[in-house]
Amino acid sequence: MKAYFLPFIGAFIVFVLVFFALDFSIMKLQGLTLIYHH
Amino acid sequence: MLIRNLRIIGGAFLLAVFAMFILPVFMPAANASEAAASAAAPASEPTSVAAPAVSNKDAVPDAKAVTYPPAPKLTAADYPTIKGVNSRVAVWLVAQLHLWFGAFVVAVPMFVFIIEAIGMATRDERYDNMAYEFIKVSITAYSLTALLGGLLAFSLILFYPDLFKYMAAIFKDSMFAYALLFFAESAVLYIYYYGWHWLQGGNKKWVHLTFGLLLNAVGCLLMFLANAWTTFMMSPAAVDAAGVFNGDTWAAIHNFLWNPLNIHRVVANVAYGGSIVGAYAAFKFLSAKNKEERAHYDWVGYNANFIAIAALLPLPFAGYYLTAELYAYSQQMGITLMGGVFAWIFIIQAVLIGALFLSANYYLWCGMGRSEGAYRYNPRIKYIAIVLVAAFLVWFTPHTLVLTNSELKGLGGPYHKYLGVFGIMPAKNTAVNFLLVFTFMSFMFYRRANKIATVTWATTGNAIQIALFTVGLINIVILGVYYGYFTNTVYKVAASIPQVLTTLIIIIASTVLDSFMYKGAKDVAPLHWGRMSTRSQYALFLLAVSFTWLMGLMGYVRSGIRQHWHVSNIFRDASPDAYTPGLGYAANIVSIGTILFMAMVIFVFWLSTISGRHAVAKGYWKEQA
Repeated sequence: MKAYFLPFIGAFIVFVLVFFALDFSIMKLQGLTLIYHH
Repeated sequence: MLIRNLRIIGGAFLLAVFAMFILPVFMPAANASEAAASAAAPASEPTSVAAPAVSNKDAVPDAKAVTYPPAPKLTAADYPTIKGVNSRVAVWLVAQLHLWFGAFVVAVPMFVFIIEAIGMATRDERYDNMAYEFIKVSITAYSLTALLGGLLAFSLILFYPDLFKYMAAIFKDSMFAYALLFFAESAVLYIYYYGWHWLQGGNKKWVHLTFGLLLNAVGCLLMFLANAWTTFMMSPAAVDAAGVFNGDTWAAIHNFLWNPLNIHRVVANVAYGGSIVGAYAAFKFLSAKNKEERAHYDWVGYNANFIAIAALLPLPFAGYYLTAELYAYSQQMGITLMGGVFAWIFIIQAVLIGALFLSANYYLWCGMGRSEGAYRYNPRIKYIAIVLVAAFLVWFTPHTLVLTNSELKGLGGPYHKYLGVFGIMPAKNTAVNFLLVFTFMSFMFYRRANKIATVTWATTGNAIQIALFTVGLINIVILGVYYGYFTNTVYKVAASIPQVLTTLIIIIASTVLDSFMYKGAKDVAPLHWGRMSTRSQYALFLLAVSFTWLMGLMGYVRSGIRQHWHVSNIFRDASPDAYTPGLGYAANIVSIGTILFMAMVIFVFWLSTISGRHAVAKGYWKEQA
C-alpha cells in the first residue's frame, strides 16, 4: 500500500503544479487572470 | 535490377513533381494576393454581417483587363424546373451523397498509407493485406464518387445555371485545375491499386509507398479546392458588395472559413473512413464461413475502430475551432447556427456523437473478451460506462426548450431548476472532455488486458498514472465550473483552451508512460481473434450509420446558415425554395440520404465478396483440343 501511496502523493503534487501552471499561462496568454475580477 | 529500380523511382519522382506543379500553374495570382486576402479578412470587424469586400483596384495586374459582372439579381423565373423534381432536394441529396463517398475515398488512402508503412516497418504481411483490402473497397466507391460528382455538376447547371455561371467565372482556374487533378488522382490511384502486388519488396515497396503519398497529396488538394468553393459561398472574399470579382483567385480560395473547414474535414474524413471500413469488416465478419475468416475480419474491425476513435478524439476540437471562426466571421451566422433555428439540430448532434462514443467504447469492452487477462479490468468497466452516460446526458441537455405557456408556467421559467445549469457551453465542454478522457481509458484497459508489465517500477507507474487522471479531471471540472458559472463570457470561452490542453496532456503523458511501462511486457495468452459477440459487430455498424447521419445533418446546418443567400450577403437566392425548411423536413431528407448511402455502401461491400468468387461452369465451354 505504501509503495502505491507515496508515489501517488508525490505525483499528485507535481501534477497540481503542472496543471496550475498550464491554466495560469493560457489565461495570461489570452490577457486574462486566473482569478476573475469584476 | 538496380537500374530498373532507379528508373521506377525516378519516374515516380518526376510524376510527383509534375503533379505538385499543376496547381500553381492554374493559380497565377497566388503570391500577389496575400495582402489583399488579409485586408479582406473580416476578423477586425467581428460583428459585421456584410461580406468582406476588396475593391477592384486591388486586383492583380494580369487580371485588370478582365471585367467581371456583379452577382445577378434573379427572380423565380430564372430557375429552370423539371416537372416532378424538387430542385433543392435533388441537389441536396446528390451533393450529400457525393460528399459522403468523397469523404470516404479521400480518407481511405490516408490510413492505407499509414498501415502500409506499419507493415513495411514491422514486416508483418497482415498489415499489407489489410491495407490492400481497404483500398480495394475504396476503388468501387471512387467510381461512385466520380459519378455522383458528375451528376451534381449536371444538377447545378440544370437547376441553378446562374449560380453555376457566377461561381465558374470566379473559380474557372481552380475548376480547370480540379478537372486535371482528377485525372492525376485516377492515374495514381489505379497505379497504387493495380501495382500493389507488382511493386513488392525492396525499393519497389518504397516506390509503391511514394505513390500512396502522392495519392494523398492529390486527394487532399482536390478536397481543398472543393472546400474553397463551398466556403466562398459562406464567407466570400475578393468581391465587392455587389459581388464583382476583383480577379484575385487566390484570395477567393483563401477565404475566411477555408482553412477551418479544411482542418475539420481532414480529421472528420479519417474518422468517417475508419467507421465505414469498420462496417465493412463487420459485414465480412458476420458473413464469414469459417473461423480463420472470422479471426481475420475481427482483427480488421479492431483496426478500423482504432482509426475511427483516434480521429474522433481530436474531432470535437476541430469542430469547435470551425465554429469559433464562423462566429468571428459573422456573429449573425454564429447565432443562427447555435442559438437560432438550427440550435435543435445540435441537440440531435449531441445524441449522435454520444451514440458514437458509446458504440466505440462498447466495441472495445467486447473486444476485451479476446484476452484471457481481461478479468482484471472488467469490474472497472461499469464505472467508465456510468461516467460516459452521465457526460452524454449533460452534453445533450438543451439550453432552452420549446414550451407551451402552461409548460412554461409549470417549469417556473424557460430553464429547468436543476437541469438548466447543464444547458450552457462550459457544461458541454466539461462533458466532452470527460467523454474523451474516459474513452481513452477504455482503450488503455483494452491495451493492457492481455499484458503483464515486467518493469520493476510498474506499481509506481500506475500510481503516477492515477494521479495524472485524478488531477487532470479535477482541473477540467474547476475550469468548467468556476469559469463557466462565476465569470463572464470572455473567461468562459478562454477557459475551454486549458480544458482541451488538460485532456491532451492526460492522453499524451499516459500513452508515453504506458509505452515505457509495458516495454517488454509478457502476454497473458495469445489473443483469441474472432472470439467476439455478434452484438459487437452491430456496434461497428452503428458507428458508421451515426457518422453518416451526423455528417448529413451538420452539413445541412453548415450550408443552411446562409439562409436565403446563394453567396452570403452577395448573391440572393430567389428560387421558390429560398427558405429554411422545418427541422423535421430537413431531418427526413438527411435520413433518406443516409439510407440511400448505406444501401450503396452495402452494394460496394457485396461487390467485394463476388469479385473473389469463381464458379466452374462444367460443360459450358467448348473443350479445347
